[in-house]
Amino acid sequence: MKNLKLKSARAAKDLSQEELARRVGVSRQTINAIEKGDYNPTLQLCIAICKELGKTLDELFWEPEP
Amino acid sequence: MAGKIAFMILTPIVLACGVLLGYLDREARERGEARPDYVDERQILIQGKAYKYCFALVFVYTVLYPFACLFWPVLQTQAISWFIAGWFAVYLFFQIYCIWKDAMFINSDHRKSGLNGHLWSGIFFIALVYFQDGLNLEHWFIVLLIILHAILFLNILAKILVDRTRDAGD
Repeated sequence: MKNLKLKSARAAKDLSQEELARRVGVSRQTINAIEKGDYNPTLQLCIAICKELGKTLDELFWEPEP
Repeated sequence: MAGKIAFMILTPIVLACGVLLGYLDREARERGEARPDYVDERQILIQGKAYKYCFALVFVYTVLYPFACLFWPVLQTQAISWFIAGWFAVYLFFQIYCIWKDAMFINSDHRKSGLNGHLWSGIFFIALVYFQDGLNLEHWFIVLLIILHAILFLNILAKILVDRTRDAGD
């Protein structure tokens, strides 16, 4: 499932995938894979992304029950 | 005569390998100092998976090869070259797997430097063959290196082209 919340939060901060990747210390492809829902990041990486985007884990990675 | 030719071929290769290793070591140190925090978990997972496949392939190959030599005379006469060619193939598999799974390069600049590296290495080995006594089977090891660099160069190039079309909207 695509992570549109991460994509919009990144866009709101006016960050490219490359820039966010550089800041959290991973490759651009990893950020791309997370946004596309192709890769489940570890908690450590989730926290690093949240800190960089000024969001909480719930805001970026929690999927509400349907 | 054969010893002289071997010396003429091996000396530049050893020198080039020394220079290349020194360059790679310096690059690795600089990269490590510049980005000590860089640990891409996804890339490490994929590389680990590729390594696992390669380990299994090498194990099977090493066990099966002596049996293949018994039944296929060509392998007996050129045993070492064919055996090492198999190792090259496994190394290629590892590299290509990681390239297509985006687990080989840190960023686009790193990927471009990889592309350049394979291009110039290929040209270097072609020039080495050219300035010796032409291309023949005695140069099988250099020919393997040229093929290896050419395949990796083409794979990286193809991946760049694929990414340009696929990630255009991201």
